[in-house]
Amino acid sequence: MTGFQWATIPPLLLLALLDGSRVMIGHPSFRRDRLLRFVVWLLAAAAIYNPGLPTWVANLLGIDRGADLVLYGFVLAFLAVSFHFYAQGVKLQRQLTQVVRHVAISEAKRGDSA
Amino acid sequence: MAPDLRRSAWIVIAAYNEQPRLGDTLARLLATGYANVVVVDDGSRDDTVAVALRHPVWVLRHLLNLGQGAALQTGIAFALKHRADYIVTFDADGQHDPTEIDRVLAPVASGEADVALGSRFLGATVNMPFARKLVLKGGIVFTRVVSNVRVTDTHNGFRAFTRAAAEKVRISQNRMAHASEILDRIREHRLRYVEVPVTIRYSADTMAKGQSSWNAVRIVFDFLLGRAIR
Repeated sequence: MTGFQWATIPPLLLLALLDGSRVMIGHPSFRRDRLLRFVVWLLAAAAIYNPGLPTWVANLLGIDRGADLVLYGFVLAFLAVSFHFYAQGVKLQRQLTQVVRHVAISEAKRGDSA
Repeated sequence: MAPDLRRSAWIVIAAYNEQPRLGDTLARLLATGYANVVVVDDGSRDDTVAVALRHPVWVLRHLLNLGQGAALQTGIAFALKHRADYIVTFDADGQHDPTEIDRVLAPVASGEADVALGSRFLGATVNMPFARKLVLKGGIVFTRVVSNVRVTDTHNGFRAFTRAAAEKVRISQNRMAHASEILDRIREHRLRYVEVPVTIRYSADTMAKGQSSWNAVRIVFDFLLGRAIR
C-alpha cells in the first residue's frame, strides 16, 4: 500500500466500523443515515485501495473513466445534500413559526376606538 | 347581510409595514359593520401596531417577519379559537373594497360553497400594470397544471372560508406561495369553492411596496419544494 492509502484507508474503515456497529440503534432516520455513511466509507476505502475499481464500475454503467463516475457521483450527492439542508431549513422555520404564532396569539391585544 | 353574520364572520388582515395605509383600510372596513377584525402585524419595523391599536380590532404581533402566509394562518387560528363561523382574508393595503365583503361571504354563508375566492378577472381592476397581469395569468396556467384547480385568479387575497374549511386549509407556506397552497388544499380536501368577482385597486404606493413580478419564480420554487417536504 502507498503512503496515501495508509493515511486514508484505516480512518475510513474506522468510520465504517463506528457507523456499522450502530446501524441498528436509535430512530429509523438515524439508522438510515448511519447505513448510508457506512456504505460511503466502505466504497471510498475500496476505491482508494483498488483505483481500478471505479473504472470497472464505470465501464459496467457505460461510462468511460472511473474519474467521470466519481464526478457524477459528487454532483448527485451535492444535489441531495443541498435538498437535505433546504428541507431541514424549512422544517426549522415551521417550528419557529409555531413558536412565534403561539406568542402572538397568547399576547393578543384589543385596540380601542379613541 | 344579516347583522348576526357581521358578528360571526371574522376578518383577518396580515400587515407588514402598513403604517401609511392601514388606518384608512380599517376605518373603511369597520364602517361596514363587521365587528370582529384581527390584524396580524408580521414583525413590522414601522408603527403598524400603533395604528391598528387605535381601532376596535384585535391586534396580534409576530416577533419576527415570517411572511403573509404565516400571518394569515395566525389570524385564522386566532379567529377559530374565538369560535368564528366564517373567516374572510383581506389585504391591509387598501387594494380590496370592504363593501364587497358581503358578496364574497354570501356563498359560504348560504352553504353554497366551503370557500369563496375573490377574482379580479371576473370583477374589475384599477391601474393594474401589464407585467402583473401577465404574471397572474401565468399563475392561472401553473395552478391548472400543478394543482388541477380551475380558477380565474390564483393570487387574490380576498377569500372567505367556512369554519370547517379554514380548519382544513392550514397554511404552512409562510410566504407568498400560500395562495397556491390554499388552492392545493381545496383540491386535497375536496372543498366546494366558487369564485366571486371583486375589485382590486392598484396605486403607485401599493405597487412600490408590493411584490415584484420576478418574485413569481420564488413562489413556484417555494411551493413545489414545500410540497415535497412534510
